Amino acid sequence: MTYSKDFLVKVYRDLAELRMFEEKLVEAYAQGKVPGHIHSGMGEEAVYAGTLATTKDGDYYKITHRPVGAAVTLGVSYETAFSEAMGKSTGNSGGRGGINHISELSKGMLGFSGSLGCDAAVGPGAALKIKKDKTDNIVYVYYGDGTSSRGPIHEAMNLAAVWKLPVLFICQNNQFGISTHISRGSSVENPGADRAAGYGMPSKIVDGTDALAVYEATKELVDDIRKGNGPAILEAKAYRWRGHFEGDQTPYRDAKITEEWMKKDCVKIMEKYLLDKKVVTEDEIKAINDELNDEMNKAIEFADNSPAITADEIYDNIYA
Amino acid sequence: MSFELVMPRAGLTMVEGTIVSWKVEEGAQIKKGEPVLEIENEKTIMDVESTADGFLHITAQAGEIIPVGERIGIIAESKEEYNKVISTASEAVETSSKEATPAKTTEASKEKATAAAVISGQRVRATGLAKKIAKEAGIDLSQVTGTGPNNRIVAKDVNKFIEDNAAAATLTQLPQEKAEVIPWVGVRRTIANTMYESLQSMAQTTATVEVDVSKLTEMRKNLVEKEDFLACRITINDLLCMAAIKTAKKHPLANATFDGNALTTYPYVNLSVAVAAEHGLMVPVVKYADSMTLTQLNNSLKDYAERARDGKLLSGEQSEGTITVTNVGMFPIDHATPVINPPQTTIIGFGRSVKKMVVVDDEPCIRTMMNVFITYDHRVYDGLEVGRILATIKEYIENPELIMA
Amino acid sequence: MLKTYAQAIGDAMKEEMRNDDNVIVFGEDVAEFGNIFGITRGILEEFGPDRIKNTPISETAIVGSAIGAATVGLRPCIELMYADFALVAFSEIYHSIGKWRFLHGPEYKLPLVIRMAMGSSFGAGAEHSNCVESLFMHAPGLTIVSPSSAYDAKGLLKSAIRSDNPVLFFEHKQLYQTKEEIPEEEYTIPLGVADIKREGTDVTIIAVSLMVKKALEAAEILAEKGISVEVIDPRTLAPFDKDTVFESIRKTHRVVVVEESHKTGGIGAELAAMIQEEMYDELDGPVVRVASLDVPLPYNIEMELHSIPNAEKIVTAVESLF
Repeated sequence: MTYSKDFLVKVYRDLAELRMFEEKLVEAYAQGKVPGHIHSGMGEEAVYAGTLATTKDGDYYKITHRPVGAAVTLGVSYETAFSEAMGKSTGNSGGRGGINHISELSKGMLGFSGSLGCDAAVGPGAALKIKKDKTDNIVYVYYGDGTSSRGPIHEAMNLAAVWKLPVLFICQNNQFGISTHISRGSSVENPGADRAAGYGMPSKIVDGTDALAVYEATKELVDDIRKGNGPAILEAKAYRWRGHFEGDQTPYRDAKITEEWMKKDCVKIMEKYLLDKKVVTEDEIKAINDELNDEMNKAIEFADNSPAITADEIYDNIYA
Repeated sequence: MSFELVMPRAGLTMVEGTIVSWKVEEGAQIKKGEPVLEIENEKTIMDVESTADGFLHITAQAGEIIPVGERIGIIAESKEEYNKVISTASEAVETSSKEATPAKTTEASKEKATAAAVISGQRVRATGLAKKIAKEAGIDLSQVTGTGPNNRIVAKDVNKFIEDNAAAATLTQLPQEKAEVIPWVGVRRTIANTMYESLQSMAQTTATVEVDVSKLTEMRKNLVEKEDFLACRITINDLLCMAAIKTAKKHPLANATFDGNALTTYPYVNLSVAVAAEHGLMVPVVKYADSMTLTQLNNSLKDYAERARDGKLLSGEQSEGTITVTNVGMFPIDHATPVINPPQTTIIGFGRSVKKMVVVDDEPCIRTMMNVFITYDHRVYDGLEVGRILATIKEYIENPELIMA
Repeated sequence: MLKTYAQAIGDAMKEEMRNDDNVIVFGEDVAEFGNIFGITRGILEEFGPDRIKNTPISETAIVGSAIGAATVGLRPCIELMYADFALVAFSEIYHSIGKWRFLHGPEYKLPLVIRMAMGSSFGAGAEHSNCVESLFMHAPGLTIVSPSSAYDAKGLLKSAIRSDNPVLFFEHKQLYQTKEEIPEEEYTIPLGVADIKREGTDVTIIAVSLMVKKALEAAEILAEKGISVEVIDPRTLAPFDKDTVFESIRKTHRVVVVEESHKTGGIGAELAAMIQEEMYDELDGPVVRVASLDVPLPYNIEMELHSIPNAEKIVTAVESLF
């Protein structure tokens, strides 16, 4: 496949942005600026950068807790995203929802759950609106290999399939449900793709560290869905670089394997591709990263200096 | 062999009696018919005689209230028997505190439960609403009988209690008019307590003298004419208070406080002045009144009287008085027996001034007369002293120029 | 016109579907079959398969997809058949529905209604007879409606469908065939407003759903005994109309709560706690609860009837306050 420079730079920029967002989040968390716990998605950026290179206006998205930086890929401002992560009034929910609810409806985001999988059917629900409006939009529903064992995932897929709804389910297989390897959570090797047959859905498996490969596999499925042929499953295989949460020292896995996977750095892979193909220069790469770094630092400062909501305001936004 | 000595029934309505005192000591040998203790019932105090010969073991002490028929002592036939009684009695006390007591309280609480919702201790079983109504009406819930579930006092019971009490109070009124129940709280409650306390704790008695206030009235008239010059309007009351201050200064026993153990006399006069206000009696104190001129006293009295009527006295302004005056001359009151403001010893009252036919130098003539009455604590001084005090104040009032001296 | 509770609910849905084409209906057996109680009969014929759909037996997906649909502007009025099955989707209802707006911000609103048939119905057994409103009263953000009559059911359902907040709508199976005069002209009943079903002066009975009928029966018996009963139907359990209830208590000073759910942790538990906390000085006795026994509802009808409240039990409870 041949790509325009703009397209390639956009995919690279999305990757670099998501990586940096996740890095900054880990840093802010370590500094005690982020309440609760975070789930770093480092190493899995290509799953989002690749799939989201296929979107069009009017599509809807249901992301997950990992990586929450996907919200900025979808257009949520750094200020809003970091503010919400830090629990500040300047976040999308004013810090009421927090890290697992960085979301803006105006960006097509449907919202997502901290209780994993319970939000899977939100995608098919939004798809009913697309059907009513008779557009070729679709809904992107992300879920993890761990969540693939939860019942609501099954119900959502079955419903989407039986109603032939325009939904792409993306199984982001990072191989671990907290400490449990997928081989002990699933009797099939590919917990996303292998189950598609059960719903009569097409599926694809792709290397989740290669953004362009993800893009190509996604595009094939998405084109078909946009034509009205019903839902599909994409399984992107990657590896969760860090622990489930910060502070998880991952004693349950072999550090050597982790090291091997970290060599398959999706950002570096894309960077090398761009430099090898002379699409961009090192200076351009640096410029992109400097700009991202600058903007994110400003946003973190903004969030850090933003006030929390007051006690009177906690009752706001319960009822419309 | 031993016999029980019990609280006797000594009167038709007697259900219990108080042991006033034992006339014999624990272990004393007594004889049948010998008065061994004094008891008191609702009517009288009387001796109780021993019902047997023997040695007395006392089981109820002076001050205890014992139901008729219950044991107050044991009479042992012999010294050995007595020793046995004592040792078993101490055991019995121990066991009863362990076993007998619960049985007793159950019995007692059962009895009380049927009578009122007062259970162990002072807890009253009542609903929130019943408590609210009782509080608003100033009713002690332990007086109310509960008819709700578990003998709980419910609103109906409190309302009935209020109605019953009102009915009793208004028997003479038209039946459809309900008596107004006014909770006696705040200032009124304090006054009530002070008055009661005063009369309960002192030997108060009153002496009166009639004085001629013709000159005083004349003098006052002259002072009022100089109102502008003095920049104040002197009143009869100002002059009478001045006379009282001067008198107090001359009679330390009257310008004093007494706590039952010691008398304190003062080198100055802090004059308590009774002021009738709508919300109750106020008694502001003019401190160091003896060092004031007449105009200063006038200003001070005026200020206190106004603020007392408006309920605007500050805390501390009603305390530390050494003697009290009360002037009821504006009412048709010729004579009264004022109540002493404790712990003071004396209160001086002034009655109404009236023109009377009196004899002066064996000639009948019309003079303006007034009664001065002094209630004093007879524990502190007596007729001799009060006679002197009345003589002093009479002298001042009848020769008012002395007041200015 | 005299209509049944079931017809009134169906009419409310049809009227709202005519008013707003964003109103859609889906759930178990709602389309061709018209739901197992016949509530949605005629909707498919009038509105076609895009507006009313049968779902697979998938409560979590029914509720979950309603969230998605409502988020993007549809107004789903979905059905879970038996209220007992709401527990299959407990997480979706408890975590997602009630919290979605709070968690994601004021841009989000969920105009959705979940209809459920609840309550005992002569031998339906322990898993098809539950009144589960109280389980959801614990969750912030939900609106919970439990109508006791055909007139109320219609007016309240129309308001529920028009509401921008998620509403759980509990219908009592024994009420489906009860009839009431329903006006020809359109009307709605506001959510969050209680209704005084009978005025009285001596005791306030707060009764929910079918129990309103039982409370009214009890009130008749008690009237003959000289006790004047005020019967209040909260209609909306959350948000709860405290004003109406408290005003009644200021008059009667006695409260009995009647519900068909189990006594422990039930509606009465919450109301009794709230009333004693906020109205202690007005109470002339404890708040008494009449509820189902804390047993799974037995299949045997005699035992079933023994387990749930009736007029006689309500009379006894009221008398215990005097």
